[in-house]
Amino acid sequence: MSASSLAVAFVGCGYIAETHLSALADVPGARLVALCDADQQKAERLSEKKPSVSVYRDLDRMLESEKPEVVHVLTPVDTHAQVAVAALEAGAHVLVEKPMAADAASARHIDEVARKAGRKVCVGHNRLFDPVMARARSMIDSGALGVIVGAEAVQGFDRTEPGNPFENPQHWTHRLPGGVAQNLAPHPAYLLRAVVGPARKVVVARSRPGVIPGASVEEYRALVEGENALGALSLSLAARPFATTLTVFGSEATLFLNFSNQTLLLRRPPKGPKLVAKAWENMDTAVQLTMETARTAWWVLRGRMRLYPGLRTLVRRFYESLRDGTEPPVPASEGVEVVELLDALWAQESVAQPAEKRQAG
Amino acid sequence: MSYTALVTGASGLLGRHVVERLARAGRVVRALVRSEQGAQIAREAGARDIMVGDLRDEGVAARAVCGAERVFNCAATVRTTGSWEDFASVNVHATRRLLQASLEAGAKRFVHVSSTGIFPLPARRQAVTEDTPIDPLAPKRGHYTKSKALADELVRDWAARHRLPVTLIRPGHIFGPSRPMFGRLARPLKGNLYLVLANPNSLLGFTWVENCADAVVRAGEVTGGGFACYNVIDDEFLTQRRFLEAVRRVAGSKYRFVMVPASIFAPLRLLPPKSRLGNIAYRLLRACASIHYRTDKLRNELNWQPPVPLDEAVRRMLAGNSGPRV
Repeated sequence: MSASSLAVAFVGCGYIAETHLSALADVPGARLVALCDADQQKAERLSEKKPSVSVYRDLDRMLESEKPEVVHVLTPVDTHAQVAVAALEAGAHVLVEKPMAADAASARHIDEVARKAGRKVCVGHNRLFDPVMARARSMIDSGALGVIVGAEAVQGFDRTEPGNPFENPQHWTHRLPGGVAQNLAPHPAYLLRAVVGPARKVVVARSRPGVIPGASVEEYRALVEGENALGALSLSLAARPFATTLTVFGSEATLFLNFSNQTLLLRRPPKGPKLVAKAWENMDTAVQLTMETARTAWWVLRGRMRLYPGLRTLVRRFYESLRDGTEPPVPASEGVEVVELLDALWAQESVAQPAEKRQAG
Repeated sequence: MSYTALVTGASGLLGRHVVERLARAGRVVRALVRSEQGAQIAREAGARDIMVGDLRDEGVAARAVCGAERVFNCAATVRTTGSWEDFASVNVHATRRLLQASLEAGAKRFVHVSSTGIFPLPARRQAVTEDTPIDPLAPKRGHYTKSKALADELVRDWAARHRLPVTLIRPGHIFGPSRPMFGRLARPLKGNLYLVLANPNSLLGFTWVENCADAVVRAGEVTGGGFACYNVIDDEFLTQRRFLEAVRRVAGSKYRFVMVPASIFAPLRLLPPKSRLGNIAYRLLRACASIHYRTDKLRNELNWQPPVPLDEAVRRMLAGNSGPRV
């Protein structure tokens, strides 16, 4: 195969594969050659958007016949490790959706195999590349926030969305150690990691308010002692409206990011006499929100704001890293760290257990 | 030269004639049909090996192509109604399954029957050749056209990516003995009185089913070479008027026609082509438009001439059979 055009295969042709397909169309050095799904009809349906691809239901056969140079692992989380390892051993680079694997041991195994095979693994921590996060990063890097002292990441769940996993007892997320939450928790975990650094210590609390029938745990809170700062992670299946936010606390200012509408809010110390300052704070917030809303609307109207903007950037950068021989935008080590943090959320003997018991009693 | 040929859709209008021509030439024909009734049709056409199965089912494609040197994919869902799934699963996905299986089985040539319906309405006086790009709005032209356009693209790209020699056949309107077809938009009004919506000088783009089958078989028997693509029209310059004259020569005044010139639809061209109404108008305009499809490639490269002349084809069509079996 020519160095200018990499043969790409997707394994797993569910919902997110469509976004990968349209993201890949914007990458000049990649051509999709094969789709693989245990449910062949799913792969065939997706192939209608790119009819020239080959379709497989058997992974090994696909790897053997197509010899892809890059494999996107888009299967249910509990099969990530098996698929990624097979792809790496067949000589392909791997882009694996979040979370990297169902547990830290599997994630580390992927990393080891990649090292041995001399192939790259990139993890789909998409929101790190959302426009709002890119803007936040440049503000943090510019020093506008002063010293970063902490961060709080919040992830909700839209239980009103039709077809959500709680309406479908067969949904694959129910097989995971963390259940439905495990498919959502990677977002706040990697966003938090990006600000506070890798976790050194994690304290977890869980509860079940009983809002969602069939959920064994609905609420998770974790306090994270990161290498650079302290972090708090909130994962809520019950709270409404569902939120996807990140707050970064600095010694000079605080940043608030809302990922669902790509809004960035800078909270600065108020100016002027006390009474004016209180009003100024709200007015400043109102002005910023108005401007941000107009900005996002303008992007949407111009067709520049598409679904999963971060994933598109991530995919593009991954292929750039393959071309240039540089580190992938989200290396395997980051993926492993995030899965380690997630493991603590579902671990039976977490520090949170006694507190939960006291509350129950 | 005797070899095993797989014919899919072997009980269909075109498929059964492809079976017949291959069998007549001494090939061992394996016919893939979906029902016992289809099996009977294929057997009568001369297929030696009948396989009852559906390409949409797991493993059928692989079993069907096993040992076949040449594959003739004549299977297609050709209807005016049905869900997208119905069209896509047969016209697109079954084609891919068959291509993949043929490649793995080491077939020497794969012939896919596409359609000229995937071409856009050309600008005035411009002829459609094999190199004319397919209609970019084909996905909006109904399930059949969308599925045939997807399959055409699939087969072409496949041929470019793999070493399987592929031939695309794009027939015009195939007319056969199953029912009389007097024009592209012709409907019976009462008894033998027909309404024909067309300008008398409109080119019809017709191909008699046996002539088309002859082109399909010729294309499949080419040795060596890679990808090839051919339009199939019996007579590029056959107009509506000449066709009805042929009907008159064969059947006298048995059939009567009310001609309504298609020009009455001309104002519909003003509708924006991407709108819903514009799309409906486009499909109507296209159905009765005079389109010149070039076929010199087929005639020059495969030395093809329609074996059944127009009057004989019309006679066989009206008699409801495809002539004496040889």
